[in-house]
Amino acid sequence: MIVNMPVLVALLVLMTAGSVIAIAAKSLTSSVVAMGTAGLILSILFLILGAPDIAIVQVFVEIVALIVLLSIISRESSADMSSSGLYGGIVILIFAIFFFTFMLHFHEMVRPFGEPVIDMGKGYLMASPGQLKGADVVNSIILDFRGYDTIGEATIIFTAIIGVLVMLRKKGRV
Amino acid sequence: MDKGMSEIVKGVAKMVVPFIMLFGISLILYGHISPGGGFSGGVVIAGGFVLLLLAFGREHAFRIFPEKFAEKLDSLGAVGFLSIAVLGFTGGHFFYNFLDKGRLFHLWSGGTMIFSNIMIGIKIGAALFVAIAMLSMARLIHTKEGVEYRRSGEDK
Repeated sequence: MIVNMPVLVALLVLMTAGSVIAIAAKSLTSSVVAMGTAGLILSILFLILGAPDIAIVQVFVEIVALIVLLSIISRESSADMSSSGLYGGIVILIFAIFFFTFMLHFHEMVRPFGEPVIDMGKGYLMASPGQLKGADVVNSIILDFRGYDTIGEATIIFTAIIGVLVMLRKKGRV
Repeated sequence: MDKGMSEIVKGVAKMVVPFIMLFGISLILYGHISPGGGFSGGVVIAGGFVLLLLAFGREHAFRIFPEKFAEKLDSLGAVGFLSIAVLGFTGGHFFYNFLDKGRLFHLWSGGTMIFSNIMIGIKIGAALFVAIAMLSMARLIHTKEGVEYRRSGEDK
């Protein structure tokens, strides 16, 4: 896949800047907005890297999450951000050192991008248009070859919604 | 009393919401031939309802899409998807694609995939809308004893 490298790097830098601002910002609102920037740029990255399915989901989930977070913040005016202090700084520093040493040798450990360890994907790519007649390979995988996983996801969402309804119901709260 | 946001927001929402819904439905129905699918389409539809909720206020959104109905749709989607999976036993095993596969790039292709997409779309759309509506109702009141939970509209 041919990717425009400068655009990719610029988007990555913007995304990192958004994440850093989200952590460092003083007010919760600006931190949430910066987080939204990071998420929306992530969806553009998905689109550039050739995953339109995930890009659509990412855009809308990001917007809905942003609405939820902003509404919570506007209600909870008493919530303020406390600085993590010296201890948090040391932990972040140690983690960063480990992470960068790991990333320096990361490319030696894995196979190059586009050559996965498990070759199951090739079978799916052949079988999806061939046997199943599904033109969208992603949907064929999540709904047919990997249906169990999708049932698990549906169960998780169902349970989460039941949890929200139970916690926020009107009567019978002990 | 006038609920919701200003006239400008209401007008724009009135114009935009039908297209959002249409986009969500097309994402669901064409999920098996083009990018999209049940989850993305459901999230788009839920986003349209959330726009209604934000622009017109809670009462209007619940008049169009009542809370109880959304809960029922959520359960219906889950049960429907599971029953599609269980119906696979007619052909042999769980999640067996028992329908005619159709022709590649046609609307009828991929067997059960279109029905799974519709069920997941119903489920996700209703579930996300109900979750956000419930969260928008919740109100935490800080008292001397601690934090008290209250649904808005009961504030006295």
